[in-house]
Amino acid sequence: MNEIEILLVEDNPDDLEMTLHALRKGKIVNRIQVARDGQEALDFIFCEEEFAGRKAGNGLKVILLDLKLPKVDGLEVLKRIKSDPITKKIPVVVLTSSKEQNDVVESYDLGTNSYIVKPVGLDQFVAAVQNLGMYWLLLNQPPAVE
Amino acid sequence: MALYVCTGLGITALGGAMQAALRRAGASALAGRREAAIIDQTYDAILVWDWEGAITFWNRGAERVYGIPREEALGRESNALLKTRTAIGVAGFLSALDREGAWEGVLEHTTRDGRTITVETRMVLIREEARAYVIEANRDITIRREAEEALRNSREQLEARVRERTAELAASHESTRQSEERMSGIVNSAMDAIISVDSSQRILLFNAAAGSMFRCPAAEAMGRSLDRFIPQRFREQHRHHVGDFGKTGVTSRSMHSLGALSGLRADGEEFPIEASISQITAGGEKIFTVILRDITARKRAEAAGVLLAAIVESSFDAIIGKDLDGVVTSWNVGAERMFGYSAEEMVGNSITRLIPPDHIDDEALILGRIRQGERVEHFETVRRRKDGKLIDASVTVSPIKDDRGNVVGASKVVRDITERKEAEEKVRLLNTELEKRVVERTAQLEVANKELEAFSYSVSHDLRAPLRAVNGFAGMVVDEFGSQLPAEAARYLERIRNAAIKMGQLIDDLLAFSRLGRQPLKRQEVNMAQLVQNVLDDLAPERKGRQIDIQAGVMPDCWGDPALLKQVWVNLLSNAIKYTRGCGGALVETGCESGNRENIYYVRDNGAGFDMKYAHKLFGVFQRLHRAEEFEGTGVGLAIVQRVIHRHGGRVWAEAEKGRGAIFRFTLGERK
Repeated sequence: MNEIEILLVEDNPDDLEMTLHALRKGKIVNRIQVARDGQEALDFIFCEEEFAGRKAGNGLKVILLDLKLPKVDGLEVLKRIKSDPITKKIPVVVLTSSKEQNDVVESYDLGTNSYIVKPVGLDQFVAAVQNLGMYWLLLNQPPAVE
Repeated sequence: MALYVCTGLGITALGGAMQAALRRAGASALAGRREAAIIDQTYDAILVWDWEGAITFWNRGAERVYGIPREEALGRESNALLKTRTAIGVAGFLSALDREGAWEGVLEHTTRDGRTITVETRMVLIREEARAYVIEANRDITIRREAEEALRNSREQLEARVRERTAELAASHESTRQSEERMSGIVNSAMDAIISVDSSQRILLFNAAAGSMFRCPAAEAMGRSLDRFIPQRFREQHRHHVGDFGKTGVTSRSMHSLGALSGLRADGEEFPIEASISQITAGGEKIFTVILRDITARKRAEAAGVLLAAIVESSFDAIIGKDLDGVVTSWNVGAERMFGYSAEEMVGNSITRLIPPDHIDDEALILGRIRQGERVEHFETVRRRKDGKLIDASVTVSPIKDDRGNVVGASKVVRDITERKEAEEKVRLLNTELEKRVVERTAQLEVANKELEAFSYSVSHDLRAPLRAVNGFAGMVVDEFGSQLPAEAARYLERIRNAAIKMGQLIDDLLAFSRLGRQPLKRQEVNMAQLVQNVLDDLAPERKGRQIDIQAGVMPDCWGDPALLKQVWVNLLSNAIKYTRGCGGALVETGCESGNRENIYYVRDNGAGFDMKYAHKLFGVFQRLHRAEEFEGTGVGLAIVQRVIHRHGGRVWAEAEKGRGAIFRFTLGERK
């Protein structure tokens, strides 16, 4: 069974589709799990509710996290991930529309590994998503998870 | 012969008859009865003794003088019988007799009853043939001697008394002199000026106090007329006063009744005096003595007192005197006005009738502090008028002390501060209201700020997402189906994408502009030259492919927020680069001019410039002076510049000419 390597947390269907489009164009074919709100993301990460059968921490290489999310917002999700001794090792990339300094600073304070503002232009957007996929999935060496 | 000699010696008491008798007695043992009777009748003692000493004659005078009867005396040795004593001794006068034939002197004899008598004696030695005898006539001078002695004694006593009297007189003179000295000392040390003049006003006495009062040494005043110390206009009058006084015969009187008197000091200053005058007659001459007191200080004090009283009376404040029991002793017009009670109603009554029951403790507190000699200042309390109306009062109470410093009462100044209190209350209410409104406004502002932040966030996040979708899907259509699209459709899609990108830029600029108003200034020393250089470096991509002469002039440091100032330079320099596009020999110049109190930084270019009639629109948000086809832009850049400069307390302005370039100048407030 192929492990999920990318968790994409995105509630906006337009952004979701463009992100997936960009990843496809970038030939990133790793298995992607999509969560459409903060709660769903947390359930997946901590193997709860509908993901109770999932084996925690196995093979997840990066979490792409939007900040503005229904139910539990992105910063809260980030905080929960980075407060847990096991999940804090998973790289998190904040991928958001917000250029607000507050968001940037707070995200880093909470331990995000990267912060990317979604560009308005499609070409730039595609380039950004391809780059980050390339970096976190191929170049970055995550620690081994027991 | 010898008898004449004897006579020649001057025994005056003996008449010629007695001389004859004596001669005969000597010659014939005084046999003649008549002569003997005469000799007997003389008061003098007359005796005759022979040279051997035996008495041969002893008259009745001798019996009386010596108390020795003739029978007892005859035949006796005279000097032995009479115990003759004399200064030169018996032998002395015997040898004198022998030598001179006569002797006279004073002898002391002892009488039969033992008395010592003094006699004046005349002795004559008569020599006749074989025999010689002595006639001795003695006059008892004891009484005379005693009288003389008494006289001498009495004279001595007299002289002693004369000496005593003389001494007394001298003492009396000394005492008079001392008394005069004392007097003169008193006169000279007197605090009052003392001046004596004669009837023609000539100064006879001018004491030290007079000297200092009239600022004239006594030596200069003596003998001169008193006039020089009287102001011209009073001289005649003064003369009359003194003249009239002289006629009254009254020895002294105060000149107080004469009304205001003035003296004239040697230096010309006139001053008020009080005087009394006295007169005596000495040696037929009238002498007037005036005693003067300089009452300048007293007049001044009186004037000040009158002024003070007037001030007290005219004061709007109530000024009240009271004793230590709180009984009113004085009550001015201000007090009448303020409290409605007249002085008649209040003086002698307790101050407590002014005090409302709930403030009655005030008085004990105030009087307690007054007794300690302390002042009570601006004690704010409530008092009650006669009509029952309560007034707010500020009370200042000071102790009144007697000469020895004992507190004997209090003076109290009361100010009606009802209006002030009302005004204060109004101000207080107004302040409270204002504070409330400030709090409300602050809260509203905070809410507004929160909302604005939420709005900005929302704009930045939510507004951009659909734009990205518009742009993204338009792009994806071109990507995936480009080959199947007609060229016209592809061009429209491109327009859609550009519009979306433009809108994204507007949103970004607008957010940046709105952020400027909210974020606090972080001022520090800024190296402007370095900052400008950094900006030029950052703008390198925009200069790519362009030939621009950039001249960076001298640039003093400033005090400001480096991040915001960087934005200013970015906007101004990128404008300069943008608007010189398409002009040959583009020149961009930066520099600084020294203004009066501020540094004026500038950016000059020789580009498109603008028409000055639109200059007022230059710094407005979204205001553009060029068409988008000529020069791209959102119209936010200069608005940001102006906002940053204003937040630094500076000014920004521009001058330009269409087609010939523009210069933008700004200051950052006064130089530090």
